[in-house]
Amino acid sequence: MSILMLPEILDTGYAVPFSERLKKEERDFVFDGSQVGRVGGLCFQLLVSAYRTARMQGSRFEIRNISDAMKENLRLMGGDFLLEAQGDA
Amino acid sequence: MNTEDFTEDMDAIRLIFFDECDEQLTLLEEELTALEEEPGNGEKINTIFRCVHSIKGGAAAFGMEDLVRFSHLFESVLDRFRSGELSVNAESIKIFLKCKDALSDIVASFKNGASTYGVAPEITADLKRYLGSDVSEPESTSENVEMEDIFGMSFAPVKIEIDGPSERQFSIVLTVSSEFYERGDDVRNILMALGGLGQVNVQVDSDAVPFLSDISVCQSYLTWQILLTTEKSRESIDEIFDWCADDLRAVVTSVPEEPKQITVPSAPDVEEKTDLPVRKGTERKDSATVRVDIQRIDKLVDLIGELVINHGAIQSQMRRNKVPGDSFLGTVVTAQEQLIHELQENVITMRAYPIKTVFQKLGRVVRETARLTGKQVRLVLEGEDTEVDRSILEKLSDPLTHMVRNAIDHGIESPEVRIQEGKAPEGLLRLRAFQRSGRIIVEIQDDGTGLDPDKIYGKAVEKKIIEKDQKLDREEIYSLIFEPGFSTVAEVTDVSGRGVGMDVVKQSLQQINGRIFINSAKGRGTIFSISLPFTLSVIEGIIFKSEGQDFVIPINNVSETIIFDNKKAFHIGDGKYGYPYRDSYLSVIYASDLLGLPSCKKNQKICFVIENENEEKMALIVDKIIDQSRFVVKNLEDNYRKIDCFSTATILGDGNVAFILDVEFLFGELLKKRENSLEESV
Repeated sequence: MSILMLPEILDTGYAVPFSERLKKEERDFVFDGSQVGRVGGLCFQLLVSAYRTARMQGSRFEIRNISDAMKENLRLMGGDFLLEAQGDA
Repeated sequence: MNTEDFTEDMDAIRLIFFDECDEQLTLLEEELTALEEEPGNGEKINTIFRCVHSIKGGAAAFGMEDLVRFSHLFESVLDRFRSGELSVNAESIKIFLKCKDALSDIVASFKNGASTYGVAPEITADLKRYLGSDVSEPESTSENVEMEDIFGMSFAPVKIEIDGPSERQFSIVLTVSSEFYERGDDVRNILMALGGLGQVNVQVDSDAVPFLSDISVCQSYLTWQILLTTEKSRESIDEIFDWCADDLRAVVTSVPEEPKQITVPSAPDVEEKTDLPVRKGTERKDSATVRVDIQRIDKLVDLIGELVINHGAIQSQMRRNKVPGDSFLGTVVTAQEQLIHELQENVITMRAYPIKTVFQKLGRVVRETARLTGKQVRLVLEGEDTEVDRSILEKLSDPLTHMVRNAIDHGIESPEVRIQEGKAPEGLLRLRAFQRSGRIIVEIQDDGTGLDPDKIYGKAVEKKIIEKDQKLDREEIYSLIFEPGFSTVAEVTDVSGRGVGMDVVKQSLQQINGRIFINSAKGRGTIFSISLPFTLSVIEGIIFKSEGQDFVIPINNVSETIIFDNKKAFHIGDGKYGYPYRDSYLSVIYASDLLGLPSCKKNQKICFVIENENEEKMALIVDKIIDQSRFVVKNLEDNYRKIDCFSTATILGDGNVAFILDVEFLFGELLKKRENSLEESV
């Protein structure tokens, strides 16, 4: 299992590399959100897609060490369920 | 899409953002100027607020913090005026204009690749004075508060007043298209802005989001349902969507009584089943527009040019094969010519921009120049919607800027002098554009001191531009100000007065086939009139032959065409000839001599009486006239190299190239010949 360290800015500019990186994950999606300061709509959508993919294949989706900013951003966009997935909501 | 493509796309989006900033800044200046006339017009303040808000929104998406920071501060102040808490007056408009200039500078700075920009502290201080104690919140600086608000790093909690008397609930169903993100916007900005209005409860419908293996990164699959509890009006909500163009769809409904759970319909359902107002981004007042890359329009203009040439080839073949004009083919070709002509005019119109884009920039030049010179100037703009070809407009900005500076620096008097002369302390500077006889006229008028012919004459003699006692009429004396090195002011100022300006102005205008005229009255002011063609892509001209070769002369340089009688031409000396014309005589130039062609003067039967912008005339002798028509202009330097006698070239129907004469150059050559004769005779 690898942990994907999320960068400080998850904005539109990061969406394509983020998608490429996510597609390389073999099964589980485990992220470290400690550095995240901002999440934009497209990266949020990719997180949602990863969450749905994990649910579909019965694998793991988890955001560890989530920063306050990331938490606020996910909540702002209605992504509480992403927080609940790692018991941090 | 790979990372490289995406980066390219982001660069393109960034450019679009800067284009939009330019549009918003133009509108901002326009509305601020209008606000000076109507300080109580709340709609103007709303528009001004939205302009700043739009710039802030885009800047936030690109992480341009200094731009976001300043526009946020500006916007906060505007909000006070918008709410009626503060009233607009001359002082506030002055500060707003300074802020607009600062915004322009920051945008220009980021456009040029800078990542930071420091606004002059006095400008931010002016703004913060309006905010009073609100800018000094405990435990955080005002600037930190602003950035937190904007970037959502830890934005401030929303004030909730349960059971407040005016509190209302709104249900908002929000979807965005992929273009929304491509434009540099982000749904996070929208949600944060809504959060700024009150308490938000956001739910996202993610059922349409594909699994990772199938997802298209830039497509938006999410639908948000937002329940907003706010004291603000419905208009406040709409304003948030105003700066989102057409790629955002928000269905806003008021929830009148107890809050209820609203199911989120899919976007198409919303459109089909509801009569509720659907806000598709900014519903602009004007008609629908499409943003097209200017290079595509330029390409279209070029292609139509090729079509015109191609059509000319068909006509040429028809003439060669003696196909009658009233045959079926002849009728079809004539109808096609008309269609091509209309198509060409329409496409050229597409490339036309309102002169407003240049005029608006001059507002700032006027303010700065007035400030530097300590003068009071009221700028009046007229005919801002007059359209000019982009290629001309681009080259018009610099000469106009210089002329406006000159008008304030040298034309309009100081308030003290004006009062002594019985004038209002505030000088008037009027910029006016209109169409006349197929050309665009731009006037720069001031009510200042006017040109002093005696002073100009004396200065020209002193500078050895003219000989002492040289006879010149009033117009000729005025035109001396366009001579290189001419200046009548004793003191060189920060603004102008170095005497290197007006000759450059004239040269710049000549490059775009412009002419300049002066009308002045001492003590009452001056009008500079610039006459410009509508386009540089097409020229109306006469095609003629000289020694078997084809040439074109622009029709606006041809005063008259007469049959040339070689017997009436008289030799002056040194190979120079004169020719009687009405009650006077004209200098003669044989096209063959000028163009270096082997001459057989007996063939030369046509005389063009040509004139330059100073209305000087000369006779150009050619073999025969072929036709008068519109010619597609091809740049010589781009396709070959600069040739002195010719401004540009065109391709004829038979595929041959015809050079277009540079009439100003011909007059220059004539002048040189005169000077050489004088030197030789001395």
